[in-house]
Order: sequence, then structure tokens, then C-alpha cells
Amino acid sequence: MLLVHKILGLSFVVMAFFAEYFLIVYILSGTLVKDPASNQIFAATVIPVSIPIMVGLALFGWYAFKGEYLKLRDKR
Amino acid sequence: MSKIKNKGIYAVILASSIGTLIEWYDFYIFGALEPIIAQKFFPAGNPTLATLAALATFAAGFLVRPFGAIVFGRLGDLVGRKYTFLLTLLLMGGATFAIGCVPEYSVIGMAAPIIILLLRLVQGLALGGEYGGAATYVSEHCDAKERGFYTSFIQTTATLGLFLSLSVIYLTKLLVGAEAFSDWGWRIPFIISVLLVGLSVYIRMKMQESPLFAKAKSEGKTSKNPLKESFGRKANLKIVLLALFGATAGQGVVWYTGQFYANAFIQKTMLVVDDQRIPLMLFAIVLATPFFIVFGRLSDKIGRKWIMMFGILIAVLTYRPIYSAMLNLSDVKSKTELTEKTITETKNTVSANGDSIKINIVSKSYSDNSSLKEITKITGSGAKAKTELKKEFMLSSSGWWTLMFLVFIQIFYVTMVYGPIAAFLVELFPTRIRYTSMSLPYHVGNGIFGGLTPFIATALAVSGALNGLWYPIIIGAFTFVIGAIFLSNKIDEDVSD
Repeated sequence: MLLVHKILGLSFVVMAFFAEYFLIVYILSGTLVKDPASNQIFAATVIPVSIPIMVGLALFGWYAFKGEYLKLRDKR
Repeated sequence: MSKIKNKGIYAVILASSIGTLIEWYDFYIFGALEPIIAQKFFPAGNPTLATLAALATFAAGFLVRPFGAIVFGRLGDLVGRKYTFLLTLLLMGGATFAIGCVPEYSVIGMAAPIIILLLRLVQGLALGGEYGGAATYVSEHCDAKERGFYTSFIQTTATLGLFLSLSVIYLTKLLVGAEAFSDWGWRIPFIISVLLVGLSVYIRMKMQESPLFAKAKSEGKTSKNPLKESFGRKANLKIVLLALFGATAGQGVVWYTGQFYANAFIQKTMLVVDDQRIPLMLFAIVLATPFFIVFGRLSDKIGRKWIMMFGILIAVLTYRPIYSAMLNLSDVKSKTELTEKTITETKNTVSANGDSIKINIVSKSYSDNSSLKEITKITGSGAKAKTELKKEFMLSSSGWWTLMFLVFIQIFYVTMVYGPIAAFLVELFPTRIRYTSMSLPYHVGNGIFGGLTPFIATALAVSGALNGLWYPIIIGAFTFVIGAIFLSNKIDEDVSD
């Protein structure tokens, strides 16, 4: 089980960085929202909101990689 | 915890649920009346107004809710549950009532959209603080063995709030007529809110503070800094992250797909007329709502995790077949047109500024008793003529029932995922920081992951009607993997720590 947690944990860390990169690229290129006003507002709200979420995902992945959630489950 | 008696628990549930229901009602009526509000406060053709309108939609819809969770969650862990969710109710009710009273753009100019935007932000903030308080308050009153059952009543309020808002709008429209409704009648659903809030405040004022919080406070065990304890300490932060990625993110997308994207899909992609769409949504909601309580109850017996995970998994696996079946119902290419029943009408009028208006209406009938109305409006003449095409699809009786069933299935999934989640979140965190710790993952999951569903799915659907479903499918699958592997199915009976 620890190996599964480690593999998934590492994938979440990598996924967090790639997801944020592609989200920013897509939003800034205007692919996601066509209307210019909506696009600007969408970017202005989604980018700052998504950054802490992706940091959270990377952190979650790191904790999973270290086996912290196995310890937590044993404790509960 | 089991020593806490269930005497009066229904009064506690009533006080909490009515307030939360009204908050959802207040929040939804703005969304449901958005086209009218846009017309009154954000007229087309002005880029600044377009920016403000988009801000009112995006920012208040999802950005502000996690902030509300932090602000009011902290207050709830410092001052108490009762006063905090009284405050959120007053803020929400006050803002909603005020929206119904704001003069239009044509009367007070730029001040009108700015006031609307500010009031919408207050609504989002208040909503962010309400749910955590209600769920915490109920769970801290009830017996551990029935926590899923009792908190599931709170879970029904989000769906019933949508039902109430659609019903009030529908009835008001029927009473005052479509023209008067878009002129002034749209204000009624907002203004009515003040009566509902007054009633709810009266009920809540009579309630006592949560026994667990009152005990912790009398023993000096409440947190001095709930934000630091919730998110600044690794031991708690890793549980917050697990709750978000292993439960609330997937729950949010299943909820928003089942209720809001389904509604938007029927309206914008299938082009079904409002007179069929609104009753259909109301009917599906009424049929599915009791299952929130069924699954809440079931989670007390078999645990929370697998009910929620199964709901997410089955949603991920069946969304595409469900939406494909929905689309087929309105796909006229696959139907046989009864050409002898086609009716063509032409009307000529003149607009207020003297332009000629020509309206062509072509009504086509199909062998399965469905029909399609194509309305072409040509304003002006010659090279400057402006043409608008509007299509309205009318389902056959069997088509209506099939579509209602397909929406019901999606809301049924919502009840599986959403029914046990309040009890699940409450059991993850200690009393001293429960309000703060559970509110944030809930509102990030629902407000951001869930709240983005209609926008992202609609944007993705440009390349194909069913492509919008990839967003909830991917997020749902992601949550299922994390939840199935990382979450425990064990019920934490003692939440008095």
C-alpha cells in the first residue's frame, strides 16, 4: 500500500505543476473563453484561485509520498 | 457524545435547515433571473458594464465563497455557532432584499451595476459561512449513531432552495404575466426573501448554543487562532487537503452537473422551451430529494465513504450515455418531419426607433409528436438589416418523461454523494476548529470545482455537445481514486474532542 501511496503522491505533485501551467496557458491564450470581457475576468479570478489549490495538491501529493496518510488511517 | 440527548433535535434541524434553505433560495434567484438582471443593470454594448456583469457572475459565484468560509468559520470557532450563522442569514437576507429594491441603470446610471455587484459579493460571502455553521450546529446536538441521518436534512436544503427559487419565479410569472414580470415582477422573489429571513431569524434566536461548543468554551478549550490551527499546522492541514481532493471536489462537480449543467444543457443545447424545462426540473428535484435522507441514514449503518465514492464512480461512468440519450430526444435529424403539418407565419411591426421588424415563424412537427419552432427576426432593411434566429423545441409527452427520468438519475447521484458529506466532514475535525476546518474544503470543492462546472463545460461543449462532460468526468475520477485509496470508512463516533 505504501508503494501505491508513493506513486500516486508523486503523480499528484507532477500533475499540480502541469495542470497550473496548462490552465494559465489556456486562459491567457483565450481558448477557454471567447468573449474578451469574460476572458479577462475569468483569468483574473481563476488564476489566483487555482494557484493555492494546485499548491495544495502538490502538498497533498508530498504528504502521500511520505506515507503520512497511511499513518493517519492507522491512527483512526 | 452518545450522552447528548436527541430531545428537541428536530427543532434544531428545523432552525438550521430553514435558514440554510433560505440562503440557497436567495443565492439561486439571482442566477435564475440573471438574463433580466443583465438587461436592467448591465445593458449590452458597454464594455465596463460587461466586465462588471462577468465579475458578478464569476467572482460572487465561486471566488468569494471560500473567503466567507474562512471569515465566518473563524468567527464560529471563536464566538460560537449560533451567532455566526445568525449573522450570515441576516447578511444574505439583507443583500437579497436590497437587490430587489435597487433602481435600474436607466434611473441611477453606473451606481446601479456597482451596487448590484457589491450586494452579490455579500451574498457569496454569507453563503460561504452558512453551511459549515448549520452542519456543525446540528451534528453537535445529535446522537453519534444517527449523525448521518440528522445532518442529511441540512443536505436537502441546497436542492430544495433551487426548487423554491424556481417555483417562486414560475408562480410570480404566472400571476403577474410575462411582460409585467420582466418589467417589475422580477423584484418580487427578491423582496419576498425578507419575510422568509425574518421567520428564520425568529426561530434561530430561540435556539441555544451548540452543547459541545458551549462546553469547550466554559472549559476554556476553544481555539485562540482557528485559522492557524486549521491551516498552519500540518496535522490538520493534511486532513483538510484529504477532505478537498478525496471528497468535496468530486462531490461539487457531481452536484453542479446534475442540477445546473443539466438545466443549462436542456435550455441551451436541447433548446427545450421554459414551460417544459422548469416543471421538468422541479419534478425531478421533488422525486430525488428524499434520497438525501435515505443515504444519510444508510451512511450511519455502513459508513460514509463507499456511498459517496460509489455515487461519484457511477456518475463518471454514466454521464456520457445519459447526455447522449438527452441529446437524442431533441435531435430533429433523427426524426421524421410531418411536412403537411408545417405552419409558416409572418408578422411585420415597427420598433420604437422606427426600424421595420419582420418576424418569420416556422413550426415543424415530427412523427413522435415533438415540434420545433424557428423564429427569425429581421430588424431594418437592406445591407444594415440585422437577423436573429431563435429555436424552441417542444418535447412529446413521452420525451418529457424520459428527459425527466434522465435528470432524476443525475440528481439521485447527487443525493448519494451529498447526503452523507456533512457527517463525514464534521467527524474529521475537532470541536475547537471544526467550523473553520470543514467550511473551507466544502466551499473550495463546491464553489470552485463545482461552481466552475457550468462555465468550463459550456466552453468545452463548443467543440462538441458532449465534450463539456469531460470536466466533471475527469475531476470525479480523480476524486474517486483519492477517496477510494486514502479515505477511511470508519465512523468517528466521538466528535466531542
